[in-house]
Amino acid sequence: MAAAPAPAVPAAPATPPAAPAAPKPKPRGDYAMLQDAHPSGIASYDVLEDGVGVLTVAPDELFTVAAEAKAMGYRLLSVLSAYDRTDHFGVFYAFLKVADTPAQFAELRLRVVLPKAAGEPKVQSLVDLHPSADWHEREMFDMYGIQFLGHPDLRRMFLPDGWTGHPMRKDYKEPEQFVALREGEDVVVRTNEEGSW
Amino acid sequence: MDIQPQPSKVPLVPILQGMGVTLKHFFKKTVTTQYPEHKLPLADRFRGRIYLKLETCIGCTLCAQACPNGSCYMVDYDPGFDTPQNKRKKFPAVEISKCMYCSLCEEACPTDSIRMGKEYETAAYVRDFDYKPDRLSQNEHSLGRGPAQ
Amino acid sequence: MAKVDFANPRMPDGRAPTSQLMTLNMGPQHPSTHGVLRLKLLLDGEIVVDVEPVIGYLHRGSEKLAENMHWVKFIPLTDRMDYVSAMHNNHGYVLAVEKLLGGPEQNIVSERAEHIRVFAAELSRLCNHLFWMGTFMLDLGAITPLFYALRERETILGFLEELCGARLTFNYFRFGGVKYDLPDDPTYLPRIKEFLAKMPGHIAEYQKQLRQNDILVARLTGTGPLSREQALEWGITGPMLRATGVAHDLRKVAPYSVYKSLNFEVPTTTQSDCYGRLHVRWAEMVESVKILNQVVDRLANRNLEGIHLNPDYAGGKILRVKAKGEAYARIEHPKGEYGCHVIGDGKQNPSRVHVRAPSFANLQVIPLMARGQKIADLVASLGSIDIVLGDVDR
Repeated sequence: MAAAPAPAVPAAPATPPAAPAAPKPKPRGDYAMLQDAHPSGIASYDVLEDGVGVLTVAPDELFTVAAEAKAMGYRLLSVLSAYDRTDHFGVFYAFLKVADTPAQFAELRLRVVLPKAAGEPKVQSLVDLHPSADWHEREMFDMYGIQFLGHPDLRRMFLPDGWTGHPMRKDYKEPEQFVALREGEDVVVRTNEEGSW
Repeated sequence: MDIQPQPSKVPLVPILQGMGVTLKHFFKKTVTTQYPEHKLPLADRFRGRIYLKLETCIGCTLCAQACPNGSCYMVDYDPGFDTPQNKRKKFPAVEISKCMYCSLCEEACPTDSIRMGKEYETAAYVRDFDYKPDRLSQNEHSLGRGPAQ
Repeated sequence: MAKVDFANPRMPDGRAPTSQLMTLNMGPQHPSTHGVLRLKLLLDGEIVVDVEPVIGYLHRGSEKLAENMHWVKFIPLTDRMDYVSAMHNNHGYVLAVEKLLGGPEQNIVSERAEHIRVFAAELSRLCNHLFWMGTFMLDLGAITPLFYALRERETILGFLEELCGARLTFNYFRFGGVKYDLPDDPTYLPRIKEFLAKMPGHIAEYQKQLRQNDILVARLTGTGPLSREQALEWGITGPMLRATGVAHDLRKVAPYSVYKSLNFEVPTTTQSDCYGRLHVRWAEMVESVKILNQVVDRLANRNLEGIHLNPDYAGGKILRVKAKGEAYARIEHPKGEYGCHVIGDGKQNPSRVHVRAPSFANLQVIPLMARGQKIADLVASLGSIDIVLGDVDR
């Protein structure tokens, strides 16, 4: 019995085979230590486009993770930034080991993801750990309305206290408002329904 | 590198030394320039107010797109002569009072039609800073002012 | 820092005041606040019991503006943040976006462009420290040093004007390089060398005038103290941190650009008061001159590879830059750590740009430095932080 002749030219697959997904980067060093110490609090590890890793931390475990990072030597809160994506808010932290030589220098980045579906964004404040977080958190509250739980004095940083809305949110649409500087406290004046002052 | 500031032990001497520095400069040439009468020379790359060359502008709107604050925008304008490269007769206009002299328009221009000149004294008695293409294309001399020396 | 209770004032140790305390408003239009900073002071006679800084009078919403413009259009806006050393603001932002465009290795910038960047940035650092010294002395009531500082600064601004066409708001850095190559003028680098040769003499002249001046030493020694622990807790960076004895300089510990191949020292001191900070900045000026000498030598003698601007990001293509991803880049600004956190969606405009401003982070600490001191010393402490309100409020 003759074997069926094999086709001379193998039919090209309709679609090229999907490229194998890049292997998920594995945390190393202090990142791995933190992740092992807090398996429940740390959701994932990613590497940003600049080649530095970032740990995504659950909002209610941020303080313990940051406290441990501080104990590991990350004593300087370098940056605290927030951002608004379509479905979630994020808060971005970078801590530094203050160093005299390049060998001692290290950076640790944390990220908190706050889904918009979960209501108003709330995250633990780091003021008790890093007093310098004070103004940074106030700025992010001012711009994004993120509540930093445990902050002693969560007021607006740049805008006057009477301002409506948090302007850096992508869906910020508030009536026109302007600030009248007054003795005592500044007054915010905004338009009424008809659009007049 | 560790530096340790060391204040002086003898009082008053350092003050006299400081006075000496000042006194020494009293006999040196002045370094200041009396501005409206004398002007410092400007660098070749100095970014002054914007000029437009009507003959080469192709109306591609890249300058208006590159403007960070919207001071540069496109208008319909008839230069009074034939512009085969710009049939729709679209030319940029610049609101000079809003312009922040960043030169991004100059950089984006593919034909080098828009460029930053050397005029920096754009103050005027009449508040008319919306420079339409006719005014933009006038050079320093036709405005009655020579280029800054 | 907890809110100061002006209605029910307390002394710093928590007890009730024994005398009548006074609330005094300083600023926002006050010449020694370097802009529109407002300080609410609680005073016991002439002694500052507490301070509350109020900022936001110069808030222009740059970060929000950035979300609605092309990537490249934000570069001139960064000039307006810290207008005293605008080159560094350019550098921080451009570095962050280049990480999105070129990956962590950033191979889109040629070696020549990197040297020109360092050259421009270090000239800008000299400018910043000179202007800081002049205005700091002005705060203390000494008018003459400002003239000497501005004399050198004008020369440097002239060099920068030849380089990029502007004296303050440079808009010089681009993704993939810098806007212009060095000027064609063959005497440009020799003139800079000549200036750099004179600069240490100029710095010696300032020091001769000020270093041992009895009045100045008495005014500055012990004024605005800040311990090493406090500085770390409060996120202080830059010369303020180095004045507490930590040699933390990002050019050294986390080198960016070509700083790794340059030879310089990081000056520190353990005398962490206004006088120590003055000395740290003087020493930094000397180090900047050292760096500039090396960079100018390389630019003049060695034919550095590459062109000043990557052609992929030149001309009309500046508007076509599309970046995707998230990155944070930090540089050593003359005032401290300047960082830029950028997020892109692969569109022509950024989704988020956050600027970590050194002045903003360093200003927080002013109550710690001023408590228990005289009002005049508060002005000195404020000056020693080196703030620019455009940078604080952004």
